[in-house]
Amino acid sequence: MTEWIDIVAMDWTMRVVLSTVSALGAAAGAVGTFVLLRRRALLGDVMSHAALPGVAGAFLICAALGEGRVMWALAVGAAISALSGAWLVSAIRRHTRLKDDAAMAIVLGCGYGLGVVILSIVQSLPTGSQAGLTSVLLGRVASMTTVDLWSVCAGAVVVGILCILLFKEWRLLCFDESFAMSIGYPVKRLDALLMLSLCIIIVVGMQAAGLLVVVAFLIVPAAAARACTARAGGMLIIASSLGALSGAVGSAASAAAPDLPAGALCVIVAAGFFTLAVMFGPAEGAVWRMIRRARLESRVRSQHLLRALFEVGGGDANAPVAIARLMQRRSWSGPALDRLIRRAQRRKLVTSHAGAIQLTPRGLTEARRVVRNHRLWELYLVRFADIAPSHVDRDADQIEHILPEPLVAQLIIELDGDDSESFSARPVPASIHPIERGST
Amino acid sequence: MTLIHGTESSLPGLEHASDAAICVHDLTVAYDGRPVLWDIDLDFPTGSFAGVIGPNGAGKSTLLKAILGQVPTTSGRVLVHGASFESQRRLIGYVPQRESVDWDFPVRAVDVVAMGAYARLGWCRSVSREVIDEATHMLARVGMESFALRQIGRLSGGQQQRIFLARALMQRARVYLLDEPFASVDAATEQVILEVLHQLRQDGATIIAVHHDLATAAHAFDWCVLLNMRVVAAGPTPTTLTNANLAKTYGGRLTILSEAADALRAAARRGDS
Repeated sequence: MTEWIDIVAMDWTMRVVLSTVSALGAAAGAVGTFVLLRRRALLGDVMSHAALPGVAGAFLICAALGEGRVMWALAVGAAISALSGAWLVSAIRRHTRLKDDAAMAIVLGCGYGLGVVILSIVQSLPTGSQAGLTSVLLGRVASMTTVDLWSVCAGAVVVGILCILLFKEWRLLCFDESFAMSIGYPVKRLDALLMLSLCIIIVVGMQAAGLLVVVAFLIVPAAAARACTARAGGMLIIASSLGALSGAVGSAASAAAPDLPAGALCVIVAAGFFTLAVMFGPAEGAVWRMIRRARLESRVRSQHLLRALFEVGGGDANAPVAIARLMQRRSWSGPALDRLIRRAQRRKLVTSHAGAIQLTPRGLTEARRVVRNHRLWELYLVRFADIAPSHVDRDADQIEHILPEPLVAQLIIELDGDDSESFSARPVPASIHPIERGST
Repeated sequence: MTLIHGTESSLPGLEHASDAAICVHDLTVAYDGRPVLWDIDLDFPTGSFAGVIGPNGAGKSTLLKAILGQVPTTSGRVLVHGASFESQRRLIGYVPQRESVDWDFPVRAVDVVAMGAYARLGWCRSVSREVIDEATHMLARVGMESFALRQIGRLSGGQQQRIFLARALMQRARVYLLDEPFASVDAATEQVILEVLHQLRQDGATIIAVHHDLATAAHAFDWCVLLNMRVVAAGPTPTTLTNANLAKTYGGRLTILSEAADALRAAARRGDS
């Protein structure tokens, strides 16, 4: 363990790798936020794969000239190729009947294929041994240099400044392009700047960390951030932080497992953050939703029991009701009803004596409220929605548990206007259908 | 149309064309080679509350987009208060169709309203406290102040429409273009929108709304344009919204126009390939 910390903290290469990948993650998370909000999530993927032939072509030219790996040449090749890919997507969409998804799939697949073919040609050349496909896909983390670090940092700074300066403009572009045009925003140029930022990240990122990392960092942190916040500014900050954190944790983990590719580890860490965000995100985490639903269901079951006791026990008379009679009211199974009763007892809503159940004063109050909501809703359906009285019980059965108080007040106002007698004066209206009709 | 000198007539329709808030001249728009608007000549008098009415596919939204310069036009020009649209852009307030945006977008209601001030904020400047305060005030004008901090997806359709109206109010415009502002909104929202629009008109603004519901058109607008690929009729509501004109707008007399448009598209396609 201490040995591992030593490697992460002290090892020069390790420090370079960690800083490079983190800077890339932060910048990719930021620009990815806008790309995601502009609903172009796939475009980063397409441009990255379309950059491959450019990288490979630049290798080929360098090799032909007897040079090795020339950074700036590869960058230029990648940029031209990636932007051509983006242009090709829109050209295919304009001139054929194909839609966005098909156009993107075509460019992605063909770009990758072409890139792989050229790369294998380069590798057969005497000076082309560095042009391995693996290094393009997974980065050259082991041989990462300060040149990589500086190029990624420069790209990240440029893109980061653009994201901050143009936050307001890009957010409007993503949200409502038509309105942005109407107030005179140069929509095409703003869009081009966003594409350019995307391109910068792809070019610097691909050389250092590989295609896989770039593609994942452009989308996954932004998607995770969306699950955590309902504001674009918050999304930008969270996506950047998650991107940087994924890079840092992933490359630190690779120190513990030197045989595993660091880039792939970063991607897995980002995926982990995404999963956590989707499960536990404060805005709409799946876990919280499940808990809320379970709570609602439990409340509904308990309110069904109270209403059954109220109706069978003769309303305010509140006579004890035998469990056997309760069983006839609803399609309860014996054990389920037992559980319900025990829970209601714990919450001091009912008492149980010799096989008969009775509402406590607290239970009676709650039961009265539920029955009142149920019957008000039934009355409303019959009078205003023209639904037959024999049909309303089941509809009201759903709604009585979730009617908010303001809506109940509004119901009463509408019903009062339709009736000589005031419903506010009549706490629990009489049922409009026979109650002992059996289970609902 | 002659204006008798000396009379103080403010009846819409008697103004001279140079008084028009929006003047559309000989406008033709084609999508994919298929004309959707033919030779449109229109004057919207200053201070009118105009409804653009017509069946589905009549080109109502396209007309608004053409006025805004958002669709390529085959011919024609648009003047706003006597000058080109480009130079008068600041005078325009715009409410797009509600369906045109993704309401899951992570912004709050007040942020969307503040977007109405972006044109005068300048580039790269962040949204100031004053703008947010003004946006909150505009939200109050449409009865939405208590929803200022809510994410827009958690609002009802009518509330979303009111947010869009509040954003247009932020633009402090003199001509408001609204695309279906009353489409599938609740009665309360319709009332609020009408009140706000009438208030704007009293302050001297011109309102132009694309509208689909004939039942409410008669009492909502004082100026009507009946549109079905071309202008069937335009003028003050009482003399324009007649049964004869409606029959021409909604009736089947346009089949030839529409078939000709299809033929033009087919020709354009052949020319393409």
